[in-house]
Amino acid sequence: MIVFKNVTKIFSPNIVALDNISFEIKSGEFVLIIGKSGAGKSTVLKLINKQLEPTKGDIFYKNVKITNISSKKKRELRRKITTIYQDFKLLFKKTVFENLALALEIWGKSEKEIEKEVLFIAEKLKIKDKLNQKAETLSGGEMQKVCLARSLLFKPEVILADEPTGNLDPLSSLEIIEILKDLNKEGITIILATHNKEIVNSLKTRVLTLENGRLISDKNPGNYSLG
Amino acid sequence: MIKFYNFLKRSFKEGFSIFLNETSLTIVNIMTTIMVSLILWLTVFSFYFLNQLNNFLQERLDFSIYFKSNVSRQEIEKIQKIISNFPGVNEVQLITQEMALEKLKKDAKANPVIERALLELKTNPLVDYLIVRAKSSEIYPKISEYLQKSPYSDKIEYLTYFENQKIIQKAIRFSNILKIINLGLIIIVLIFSVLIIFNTIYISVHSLKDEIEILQLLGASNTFIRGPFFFYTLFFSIFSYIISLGVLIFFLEKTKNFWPLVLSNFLPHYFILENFLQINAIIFFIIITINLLSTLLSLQKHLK
Repeated sequence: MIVFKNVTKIFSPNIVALDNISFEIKSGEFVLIIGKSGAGKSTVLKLINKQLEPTKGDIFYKNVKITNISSKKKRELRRKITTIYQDFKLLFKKTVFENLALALEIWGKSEKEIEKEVLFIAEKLKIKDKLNQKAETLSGGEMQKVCLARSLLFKPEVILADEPTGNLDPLSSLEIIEILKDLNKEGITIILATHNKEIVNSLKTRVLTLENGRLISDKNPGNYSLG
Repeated sequence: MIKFYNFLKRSFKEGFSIFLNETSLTIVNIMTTIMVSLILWLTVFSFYFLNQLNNFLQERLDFSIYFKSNVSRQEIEKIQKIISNFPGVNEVQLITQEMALEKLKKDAKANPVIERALLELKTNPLVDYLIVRAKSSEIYPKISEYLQKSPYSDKIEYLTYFENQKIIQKAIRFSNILKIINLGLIIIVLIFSVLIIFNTIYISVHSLKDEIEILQLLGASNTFIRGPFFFYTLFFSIFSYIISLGVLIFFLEKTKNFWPLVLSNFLPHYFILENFLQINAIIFFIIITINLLSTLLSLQKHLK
């Protein structure tokens, strides 16, 4: 589904973020990308959702090359591949409902459709009682649930999660990981970048390990443990 | 069509929300726009003042035609009619020798020697003459040229145009130089104003860069992102313009008796009332254009 073919990313002046990495992620997989800070985890995700372009190499999504695509195609791609972030990227002065509605407004949906779909997704992620609250008043865990809800409104094929538990307490982190596991069971491909050892050890899933921009290991479920 | 309506509705709502919620940004943008609006009004008034000053000077720089003593009044009236029909001539006034003597007596009251000399006169030594007032002093040489080439040239004693020529030309030069200096100053002030507006709006947009980034990450189109900023700019521009207009009307009302003391024909409040819609439309168009262009250019950096 997602293929990296000899991808290198160099930031100006000469900082090598990714060095000739190749891998393939199949549809419906739950993949962890791990590594220390600066290893290149976020760069991989940013290359997938087109926040960045590779310096060398090619990236494919469903067998279609997605390097240097038009703005329109980027926007379309970001509806299929959604992202949740450590810093949430919510409009904090707006209510939860307004934050969720925004995703559908971008699609040009009518008010009726927006209300119906927001209520459905809020029910699913158990945040219906928070809809009229301003985002800034929510706890970290609740904020991340809102981000997930916003992602789901796009009916995505892939969810990229960039350190989604970085700002959360252990209980909230567990809750978010459980939601991601459930979404994966529904068929959504999940790519999770983290350096949280507990998450890595608790999830028996495929792990890509990055070090100084190089892919040093690609281990399958059951045979990976971070000590 | 429905999508476009939804887009407009959302942009309007979001634009109004930025206007209300981003208080400090809105206040700075309003203050800057008021300042530029008032500068534009000052521009209008400075040009109006210079025009009125020019008119004031021209009115006082008259052109007189003195006739020989044997020329009849009917002939003078005939010439008066011909000159009145000259393009650009406002008025041609006939001053008879009696009127001229009365005026001389009146003016001589301050000088006892002339007053006594006038009392001893048995006959009126003065002649009839015409005073020509034209829209522009450039008309006078043309009238002079016409008269000198016309059959009436032998009836004319002399023309004061040649006496006043230097002062007329100096006045024209002076007023033209003032207009050029004024235009230069205004262009400089306007350039600075545009830069100030652009920077203020640039900072406003930059402070909302996180919101712009979120919209981009959610797959919003550039038009979708620009929409609320477009309406926000409209809102603060309209609001600022109304305030600047209020300030201006208040100022003009308070100073309406002062300006005629400076220049008798400089009446800015009447000038505004007479040209209210026209001037407001032009200034408002300039303000909106500067603000919208500044907003779109500032946004462009974040939309790349």
